[in-house]
Amino acid sequence: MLDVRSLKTHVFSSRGVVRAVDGVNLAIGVEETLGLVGETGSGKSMTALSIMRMIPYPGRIVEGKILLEGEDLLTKTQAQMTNIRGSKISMIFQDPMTSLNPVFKAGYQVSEAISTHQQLATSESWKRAVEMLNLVRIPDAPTRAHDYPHQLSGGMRQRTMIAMALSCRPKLLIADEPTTALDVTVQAQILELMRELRRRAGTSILLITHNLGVVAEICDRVAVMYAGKIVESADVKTIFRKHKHPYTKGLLGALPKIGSYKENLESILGSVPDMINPPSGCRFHPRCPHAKETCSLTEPRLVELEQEHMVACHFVRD
Amino acid sequence: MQGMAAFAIKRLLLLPPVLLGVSIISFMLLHITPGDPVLVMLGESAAPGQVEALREELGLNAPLPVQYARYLTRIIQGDLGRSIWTRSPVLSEILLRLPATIELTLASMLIAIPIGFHLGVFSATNRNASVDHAVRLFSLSGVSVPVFWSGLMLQLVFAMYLGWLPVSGRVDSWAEPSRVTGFYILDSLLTGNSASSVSCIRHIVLPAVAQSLMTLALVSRMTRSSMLEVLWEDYIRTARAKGLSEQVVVYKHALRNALIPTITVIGIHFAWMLGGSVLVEVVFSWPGIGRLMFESITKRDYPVVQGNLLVYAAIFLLSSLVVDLLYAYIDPRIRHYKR
Amino acid sequence: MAVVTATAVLSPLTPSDPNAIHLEDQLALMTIKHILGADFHGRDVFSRLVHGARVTMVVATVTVMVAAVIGTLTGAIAGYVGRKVDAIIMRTMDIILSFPAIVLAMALTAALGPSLQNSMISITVVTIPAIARVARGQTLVVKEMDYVQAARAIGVDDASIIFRHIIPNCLGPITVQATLYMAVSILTTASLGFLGLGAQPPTPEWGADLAEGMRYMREAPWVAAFPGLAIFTAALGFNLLGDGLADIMNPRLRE
Repeated sequence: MLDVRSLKTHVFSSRGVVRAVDGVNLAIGVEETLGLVGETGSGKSMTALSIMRMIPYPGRIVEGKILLEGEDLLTKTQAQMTNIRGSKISMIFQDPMTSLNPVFKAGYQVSEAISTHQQLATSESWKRAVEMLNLVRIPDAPTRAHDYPHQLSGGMRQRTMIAMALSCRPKLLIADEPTTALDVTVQAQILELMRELRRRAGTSILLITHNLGVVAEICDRVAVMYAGKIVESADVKTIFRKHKHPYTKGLLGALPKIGSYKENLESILGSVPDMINPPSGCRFHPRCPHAKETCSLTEPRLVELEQEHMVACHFVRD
Repeated sequence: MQGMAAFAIKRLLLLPPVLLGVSIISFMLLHITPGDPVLVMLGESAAPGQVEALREELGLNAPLPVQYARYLTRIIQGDLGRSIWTRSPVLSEILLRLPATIELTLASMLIAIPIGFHLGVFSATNRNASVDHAVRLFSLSGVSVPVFWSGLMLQLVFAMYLGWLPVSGRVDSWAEPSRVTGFYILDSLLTGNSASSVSCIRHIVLPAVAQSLMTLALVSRMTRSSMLEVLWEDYIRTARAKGLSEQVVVYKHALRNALIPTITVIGIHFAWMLGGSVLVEVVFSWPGIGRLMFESITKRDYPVVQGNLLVYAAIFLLSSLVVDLLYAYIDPRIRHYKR
Repeated sequence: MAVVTATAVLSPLTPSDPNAIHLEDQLALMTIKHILGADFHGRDVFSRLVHGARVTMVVATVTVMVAAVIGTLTGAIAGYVGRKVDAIIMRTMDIILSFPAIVLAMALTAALGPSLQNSMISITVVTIPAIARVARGQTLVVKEMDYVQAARAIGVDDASIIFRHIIPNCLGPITVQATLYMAVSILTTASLGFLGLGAQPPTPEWGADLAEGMRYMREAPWVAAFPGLAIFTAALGFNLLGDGLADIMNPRLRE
């Protein structure tokens, strides 16, 4: 349903060209949930914004194709994209407090999404909005719709965002770290909500996160991103049990596991690379415990190991 | 709108102490004059009988606290005393001229605000560096121009050299409208006197423009910086992600938030203008309370000066209240938080 | 921006060189043999401008400095001590602010007697609240900072805290405000002078000169035009400076 090919998004800042997204391939099927995982700075958010074509100046998509149900989004005009946003593709963001406009009522913000894409009377949009708020399990929706964002709790705000995003039944929902700013208990509720809504509406989800726990909960497939490139992608079980890429291994190794007796959490040495001058060859090689000489010379290509399991590493067979 | 009512009441309760202080200052004015205020008022050559009479009239022979108490009681009843020059009640003198000043202020605001807004929005949404610098320079200039100078220059160019607009005054003497509200433009429209309307409008143009400059500059500047900040906020990103057109995003979502700080400034300026109109009124011989203030100061007509001060303060406090209410209306967050 | 600011500031500083131009009281009719013309009494407009600049600069600097000192102290104390003291101080400030500045300055000057000194006093009084507000605001912020808490925990007495920690941190925004108020002071002084409430003749003062020039607008507009231009330039200079300072103070996060 969504097919991203060789996407490259660069930011032309005064300090140099930041190759935020440097040749990314993704595919999401109908009603499928893909998790896009990586550290901060790996390019995940930029990938998401690229799909929405909302890259802020001075960034630009320089190459690639983004096919939504067969149509290349990169060939659309601004006006067409404006129509697509909110109706075919929706996005929710990390911090619900700052992502909702403080001067408009919650119900209004949802109904605005509805009335923009569907020619409905105000009262009708409002009714639908309240229905949506109910759907996302906001208690006493008709009254709460009149509240302002600062009167709602974090969890309720995120639910409002979800209501807003799903109100026009988009084919794809992009969720950029939707639970990171929330308490753990609320996180669980939101994820549960997303699972249920996905079932009802048949929406595909692109979930961006650095939290592997969330991935385990809700994703069908996972793509691991590092320094602007995808280094491994597979279905969720394979990623957790049979991952091959050293970076994936590092990410999973950094998770504390209940029942294990490890003294120290393994962390990945080093830090996220400078995206203006990324390391040569395999971008992970400076931090890879298995790095050999080839790794600094040539970039590994994504190779299909087994069914749908792609890895980008020279020494995949080991 | 219960939040609004509670908020309004809270604000009203803050007034009394301030009003008290204001009255004290106003009262003290007479008494900080070095030397004998009565002599100052009447001039050195006044006959002792006159001096004594005035002193009695003003109650200056009683001890200070008593004087103040009397003053306060009088004010509360609305009696601001009598002008020494014209012998008519101060309050009526002021009220006679108040509409003129308000009219002028409204006209200036009418010019300053829309232009200022659009300039600010324009400069915030256009990344063109030269436009941005131009607007910034313009706004800084607007704030630096001495109002009386710009008034004079306008007079010079448009009235004297080009002769397009009248030099001074509020209306041609033959075109004065019958007094209904005191707002000449309104009056002339109400009475269907079109020649009068034209004359009034012609007369108000130059002074209004002169006075609007500072506010225009400030409004555009504030709108610009406010917009710049707002446009970077997350909820603007959300609005775009919702599929709203850029125009809606800017004018509905962004502007409403950007307006918040700007409105306060506008409100302050409105009050300021009512007071600062002195200079423009003097240059253009506009018969408002500003000119009254100036004239009464020049003539040492203390009761009028005091009364005028009180009125100014009252107006300012009132407009502050209105601005605060407006602010609370626009920004729902304010309503729910205690001050 | 920095270049523009620098050049603009230099212009009002020309009086710093003690140009003893003494054509000031030459009695002659209006002619244009003087660089910028002459006024009714035959005084050279240019030299009056230069001397007037000195007057203006002195007034502006003194008023703002004094207001800054008093304002900062009161504001800091108000913010630091809080509660009743804070309430009293801020109410007083509010009261002063209830009057439009020019009007209050006019009234005060008139009551005290029109003269340059008295106008200076009035302007100072009117400027204090603004600075006090800024100082108080900053104090409230700084008060909660860790190093202040640490100092108190060690037992440093309040007065030292105020002077060594709080005030230095207020200086930033206050300097910006002060610079901007220099411009305001210049304009207000000129306004008072224009209305006849400031410097008295024959002291050269831009506002007063402008008022005189007003009478001869038709025949010799330059007598009024140039002082006004001077006022404008000086005010603009300080505004630019203040604006530039404000920009420097703001962390430059956005590209």
